[in-house]
Amino acid sequence: MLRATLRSVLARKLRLLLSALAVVLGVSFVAGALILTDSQQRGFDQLFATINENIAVEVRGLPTVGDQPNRGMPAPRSLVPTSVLAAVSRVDGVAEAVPSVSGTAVLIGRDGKPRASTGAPNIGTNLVDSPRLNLVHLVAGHAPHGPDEIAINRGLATSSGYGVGDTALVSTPVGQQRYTIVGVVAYSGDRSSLAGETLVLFDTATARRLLTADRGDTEVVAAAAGGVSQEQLRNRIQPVLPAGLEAVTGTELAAEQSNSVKEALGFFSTFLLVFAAVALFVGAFIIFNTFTILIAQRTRELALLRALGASRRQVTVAVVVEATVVGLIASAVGLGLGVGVAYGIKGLFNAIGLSLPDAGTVVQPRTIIAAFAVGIGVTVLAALLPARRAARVSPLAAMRDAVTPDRSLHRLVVGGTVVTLIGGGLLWFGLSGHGLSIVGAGALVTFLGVALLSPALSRPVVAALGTPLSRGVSGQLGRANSRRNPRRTAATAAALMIGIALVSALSVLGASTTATIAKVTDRVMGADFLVAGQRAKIDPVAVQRLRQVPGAATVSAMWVDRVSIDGKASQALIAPATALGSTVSMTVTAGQLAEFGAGRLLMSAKVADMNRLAVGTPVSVGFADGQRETLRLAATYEDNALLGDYVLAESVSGHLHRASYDLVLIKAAAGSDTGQVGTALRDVLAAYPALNLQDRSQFVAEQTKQVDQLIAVMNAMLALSVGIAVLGIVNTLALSVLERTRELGLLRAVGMARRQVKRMIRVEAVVIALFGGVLGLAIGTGLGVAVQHALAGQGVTELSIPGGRLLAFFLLSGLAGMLAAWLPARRAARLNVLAAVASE
Amino acid sequence: MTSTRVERGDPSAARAVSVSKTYGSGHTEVRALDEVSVELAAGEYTAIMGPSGSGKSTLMHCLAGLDSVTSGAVYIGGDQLTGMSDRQLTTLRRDRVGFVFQQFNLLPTLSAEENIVLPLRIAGRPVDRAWFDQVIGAVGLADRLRHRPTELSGGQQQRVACARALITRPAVVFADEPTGNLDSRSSAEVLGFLRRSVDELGQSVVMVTHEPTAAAYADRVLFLADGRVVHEMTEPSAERVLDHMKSLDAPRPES
Repeated sequence: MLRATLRSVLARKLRLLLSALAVVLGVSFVAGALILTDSQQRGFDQLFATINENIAVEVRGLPTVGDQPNRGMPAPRSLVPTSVLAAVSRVDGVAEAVPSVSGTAVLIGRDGKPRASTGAPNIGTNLVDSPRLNLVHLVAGHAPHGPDEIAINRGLATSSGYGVGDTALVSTPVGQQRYTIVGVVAYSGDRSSLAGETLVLFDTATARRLLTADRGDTEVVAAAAGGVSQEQLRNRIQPVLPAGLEAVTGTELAAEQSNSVKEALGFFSTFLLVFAAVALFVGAFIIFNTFTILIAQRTRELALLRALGASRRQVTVAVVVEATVVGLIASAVGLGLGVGVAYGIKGLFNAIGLSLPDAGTVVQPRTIIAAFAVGIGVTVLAALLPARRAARVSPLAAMRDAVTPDRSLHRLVVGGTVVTLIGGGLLWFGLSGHGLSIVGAGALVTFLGVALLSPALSRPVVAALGTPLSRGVSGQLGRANSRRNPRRTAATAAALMIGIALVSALSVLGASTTATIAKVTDRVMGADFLVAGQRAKIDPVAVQRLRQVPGAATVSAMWVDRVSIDGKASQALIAPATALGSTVSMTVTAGQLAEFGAGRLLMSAKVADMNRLAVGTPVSVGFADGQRETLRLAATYEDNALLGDYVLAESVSGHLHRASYDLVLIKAAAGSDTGQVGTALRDVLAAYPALNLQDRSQFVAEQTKQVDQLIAVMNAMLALSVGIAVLGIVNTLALSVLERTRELGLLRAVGMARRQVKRMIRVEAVVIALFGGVLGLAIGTGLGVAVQHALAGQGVTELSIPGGRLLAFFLLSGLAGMLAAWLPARRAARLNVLAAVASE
Repeated sequence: MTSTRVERGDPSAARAVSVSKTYGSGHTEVRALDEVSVELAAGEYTAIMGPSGSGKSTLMHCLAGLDSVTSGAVYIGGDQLTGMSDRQLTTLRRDRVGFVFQQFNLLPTLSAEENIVLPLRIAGRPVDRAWFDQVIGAVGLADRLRHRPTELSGGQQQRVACARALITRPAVVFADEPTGNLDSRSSAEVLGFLRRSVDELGQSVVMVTHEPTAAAYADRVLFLADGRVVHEMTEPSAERVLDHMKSLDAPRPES
């Protein structure tokens, strides 16, 4: 029996190939995600181990406002007073200690645009004269000395085209200045950059002035003398440190850095695995359909086996073994392709400026096990029902002409309704705040339920969809063919349905989010113009010059900083009182805005209510310098996209080592020509290439851009599942063409032209695809609306259904059908008429 | 089509001139037809008979433009088929030739009526209602037109196929073992209809068969053996045909 099965796989290898392709793609994504994560993890482990190689102990401030990283920003730590350096140097066993000062510095390129990439940071730091403790070494020129010299890393030198001897504008928190590039540096191992970041290096005095406003060093790092372990040295250094500082060993440091990367990579890996799961889910439909069709076509053969004495069990096992073989091959190929996928994604990251360290390809045993388990599991699971059906073939079928009677769809309708309701229930439960994974499971079950219902739906829907296409005999025959086997049509369409449903749901959600952001932003934006830096901070000099523009009535410079509120880490906006109700529109719910000032803070009503804080209550606020102040709650306001949760007065700025701003809002004087004011502002900013001026509508558009980009990326990933569904249509059509060889021969014999045959197949494909598209659009739109509804409480208050985009998806499904019909139609048109007519 | 078309009433409906058909080459060469020349008169019912492997089906396929010939020429009416492109052959089959196959070969998605008018629909030609009614009357299917093939008996299906073959008023109808899958009563219905289509509708019919009773319906019987026409019989009866077939079968020097 096993040999017969293997023969049968070989005999049908072409037919199985297409369906296996779906599994191959899914497995390659699973493998790719794991390989990429593992390889990057090793890359970063090596990287952090090498760059921290000579650091025995690092001295740094304790986290000031909670030690959890918040929204991707590392927890802020208090600075290390400059006096600590000398104290550490004197500790017995310290061979050498150097200060490390770091912050943001953006280099402006020759084209006047900041060399700031999307992903990686723009770092400004100091270059010390210590080959041992410097992370970088000079590869050209010399180290910067004095206030006008810098060195840059080779990655930045390459991307900007600058070299030793050139001068370049650099924007730092205290302002921008033109510097002479005197050196180019590289990391150990001759790396030009670690992960696409840019590096601008000053001498230590300049770095302290520019980056920490002379308030101290970011860290002090020390190398150990011979025979002193990292732990010993740490234990000797800790006692000499003032309160608020800690000493950690180089090994601990490397592990810490590595862990933070691991977290980020883990999130990314989950993201990829979700898409792999979608691809495999779609693939399962195709496998199911292929096996069902193949078994229908082999009814006689199976009946013969049964007549010859094979038991039901043997027949089932034969089909399952066949599926296992297909799954095995598909998993092996998918695993191989996974390496390619990992490289592809890495390339994609490089393209957006986030270069990842190169550490070869790491294929863990876990990856191999996962690939095979997933590939074989999905294939066998999908083939299980067809296998059971195969076992039910009666031995008598060998004698009869294999005409399968139209089985009633009644049971499917009942089952489908029940499953759809369960799915809907799960969705509702998940959306009412029980977690994303329940929402995902709900969506999955709903898809299954609708897939079960779809054969019953297919007759009326396909009839309606096919009508406009059924001009002429080819169209009519094509439409008739697509209605011929509702189960087959439905299973084929269901694969496409899933992809289309997901992209439609995302689009509805994206459009709603965008509409919400646009509305909310528009409502709170009281200013006519907004100035923000692309990575760069806005220095006080620039703000001063903006204030002097005639017609700029209110100029509000503000920034966001990390603070702790009653012990909880958070972010606060530090804004002048004049901004409130002017450049920032707001609705006060309690208290008086006039009360706001030194010693006071504002809070959003939602946060205040959540913490049961009434106006007038004292609130303890912790700052980046480790100090605390008790501020009184002056007023609360309605949710405000510009203000966030907390607003503090500028009087606290002494605690926050800041000399620069994140954004400046400008309101034109009443009666002035806004266009003229804009031109004047733009003239001022011409000298600050790192800063952008946006008017209201540009600002609103900018806010929604990120959401649009995210939706675009996710849709691109989901295109994979649509592609797999197209393969499914190709597969079904190819098998149908094979099944209808005699019919096609007859049509050709009685004079149907090849062109007409092709059109007939195309219409069938397009009708099936449009059916999938319509189901997908219906489910997807429903899902999108449901999710928006569920998120209304979390701020997505607007519902927006992007009609144009949904229509495009509908047309796209038709196009997918056309594409899928290409090869099967060619094959049908090329049939040898004589052979086809004579075939059994 | 550019070639001259001979008017109806031309004595030949289809013609083969020195047609040979070989498969394979060298010592594996099989000669299915060997310099066959036949003329099938218009308005006549011709049966082609012969033992298996005699080349009778090949001859019919070549005459109908379904298969190509190795040498020689084939004509339908006045049009020479040999040398035609696939597109020209398709049009010719559509407009000038009718087919009846052993497997009834109806489209399961279409009703009986839709199956009958299918060749006209493919050609994009209107249905001549008078002719349609005449054909339907002759096959006796007037009350079955809305049925699907699966709802019809084998004999009924084959009669639908016959009506489909006639609906375009073809120059010639080719029937390939039309009764091969039918019981004797249904066979008689189908053969009777083909007979009437010649007598009453003025059609030309060429039928390949191995049943002497079926051949007895024809005006003329051609006997093939080893790719050659070996005998011709007019006004055949089942007994005479059977006798001749026995003589063909009996002494066979080689396979």
